[in-house]
Amino acid sequence: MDRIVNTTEPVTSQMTADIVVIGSGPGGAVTATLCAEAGKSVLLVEEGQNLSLQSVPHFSKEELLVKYRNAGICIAFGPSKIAYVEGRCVGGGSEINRGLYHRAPEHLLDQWRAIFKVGDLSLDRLMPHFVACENTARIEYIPGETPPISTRLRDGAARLGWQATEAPRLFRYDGAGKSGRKQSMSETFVPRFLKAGGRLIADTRATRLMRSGGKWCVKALHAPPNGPSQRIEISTDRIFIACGAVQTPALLRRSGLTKNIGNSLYFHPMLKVVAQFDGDVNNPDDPDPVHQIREFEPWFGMGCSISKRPMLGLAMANHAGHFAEIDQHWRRMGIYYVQAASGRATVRNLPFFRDPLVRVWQNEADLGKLADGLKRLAEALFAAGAVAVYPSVPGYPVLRSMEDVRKLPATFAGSDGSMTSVHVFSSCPMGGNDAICATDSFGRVRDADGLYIADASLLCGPTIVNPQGTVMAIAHRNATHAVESRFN
Amino acid sequence: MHSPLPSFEKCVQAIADTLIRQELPSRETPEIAEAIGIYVLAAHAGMPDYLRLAFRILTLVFDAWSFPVAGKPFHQLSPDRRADQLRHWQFSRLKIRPALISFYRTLTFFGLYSELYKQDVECGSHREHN
Repeated sequence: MDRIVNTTEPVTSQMTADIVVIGSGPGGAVTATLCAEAGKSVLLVEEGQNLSLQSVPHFSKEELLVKYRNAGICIAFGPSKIAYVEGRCVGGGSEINRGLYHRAPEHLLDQWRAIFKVGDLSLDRLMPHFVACENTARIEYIPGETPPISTRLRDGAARLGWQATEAPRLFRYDGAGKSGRKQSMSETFVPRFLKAGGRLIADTRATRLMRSGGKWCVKALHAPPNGPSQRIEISTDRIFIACGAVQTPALLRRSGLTKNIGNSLYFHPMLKVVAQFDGDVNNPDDPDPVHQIREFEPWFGMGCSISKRPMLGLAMANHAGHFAEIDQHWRRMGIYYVQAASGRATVRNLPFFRDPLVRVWQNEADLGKLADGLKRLAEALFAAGAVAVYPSVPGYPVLRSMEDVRKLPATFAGSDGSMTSVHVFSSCPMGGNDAICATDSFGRVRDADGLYIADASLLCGPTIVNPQGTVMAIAHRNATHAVESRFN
Repeated sequence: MHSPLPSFEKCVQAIADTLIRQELPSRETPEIAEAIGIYVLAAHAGMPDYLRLAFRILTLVFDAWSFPVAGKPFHQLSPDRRADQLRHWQFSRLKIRPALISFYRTLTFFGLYSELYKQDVECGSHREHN
């Protein structure tokens, strides 16, 4: 495996830095870079391994084992369950996602400002931060024709008069768009951080934060995969926590900080279907599909997924005879999703266990939205020329016509484990509303001098669109504010 | 000499083998089943610790379930009897049983397709990274 030697100095039991950033995903990498470029001594601490982008094939079982948290098996429990994924490697979620990119819509920021009292937040004010991030992590549209799995969704939407758009990706395409390089954090901000003199240690899990004598102490366990484990302590003036929307509140709560922390985690719950078309659409050489139907936002959105045969197998595992179907028809098959903004979850630590428990609640309206979204998605796919649609929901039949679609239940049970999510956020929202916010409008944790949050936890609610662009821009905004105000 | 005691690792291997035989009865399965069993065990080792413990206990219960009738654990049963027990749990009304089988089905089939069609994944990955 292509493992990067990442430490610029040996890991020792006692370490120091002006600033410690915990977590190297989009929020942490951007924050660490700006702090290092401001001349601070910055130590970026990552729990997962430091692996290059090409160390394992994307969306392979090997990638699940080494770059995903809990080998890709994370579950939010409740009356309706959601299986979700998070990255756990240098670069975090940016290494494992598809890099579809959106700036936060203006109405969403207006809402956050109104309800959460986030100061100095608008699309105009955030725009320079979007642009600054996009100058390092480049955003591009596919230069040539988009892949058939993608254009089918676009065409189906057009036939129904629905709005569909092509999403850009954090990606640099070569030539006609058949190849290129993903603009993950390990390819963009992490090298910029190291160039600015920042230090990075991987394989190191922060277990607790303590405050004493005007300093912070990060207690951590350095556990490289092929070496002995070592307990370390890092002394620092300031800490930015960017462990992701589940691990950040878990770490804060383990450290005795609980006010509005881990009470409002949100997902984009997603249902998938496999559509079988009247002609070939699936070529393993094609770039990732990029079209999304936005007609029904903010209720729900739809899009296309990676549709390689292992993914088809996973999506169709509930349907009898799936192996023969995929073996015979995979070139005519594509995976599509509908995702909503719904449910609310809590993050709590369990005594004697390392991993936090996530509990989620969704009401009837939430589940009804997903059920409606599933029908609309099937409608778009039939309009696009699908001859069969296989919902990834246990007990749901193969759909062969709109008549079948109309017979689907009006709501969705949600207890069968078919809901998944690749987006988690909002567990520690920022803003001036003390009653619901964990930090001030710039990510400073209340009543904890020198402690900041810098990841998707800060977002005040679901973004509907892919949140990475918003996470990076908010991190850039808050780090810029911290540097300009000299961390006061 | 086979141990008559329940074994988590052997049971997981036997579940993966049985699921693959059900799906691909015409193919030679031993090597591929072993590779997928190793993947399933690795995924289990990585899952949240409170879930890992629960699934380990439940898997051992599943392995021991055949003792009263067959006098040996699931992993020592014949392929046909393994398939019967798997079906019995898969369609049980006690929700925890189908949940266990569903967990192993998901991992096994993802592992199976990944092994059989690894060229799909590697192909796209190569083009995206280089």
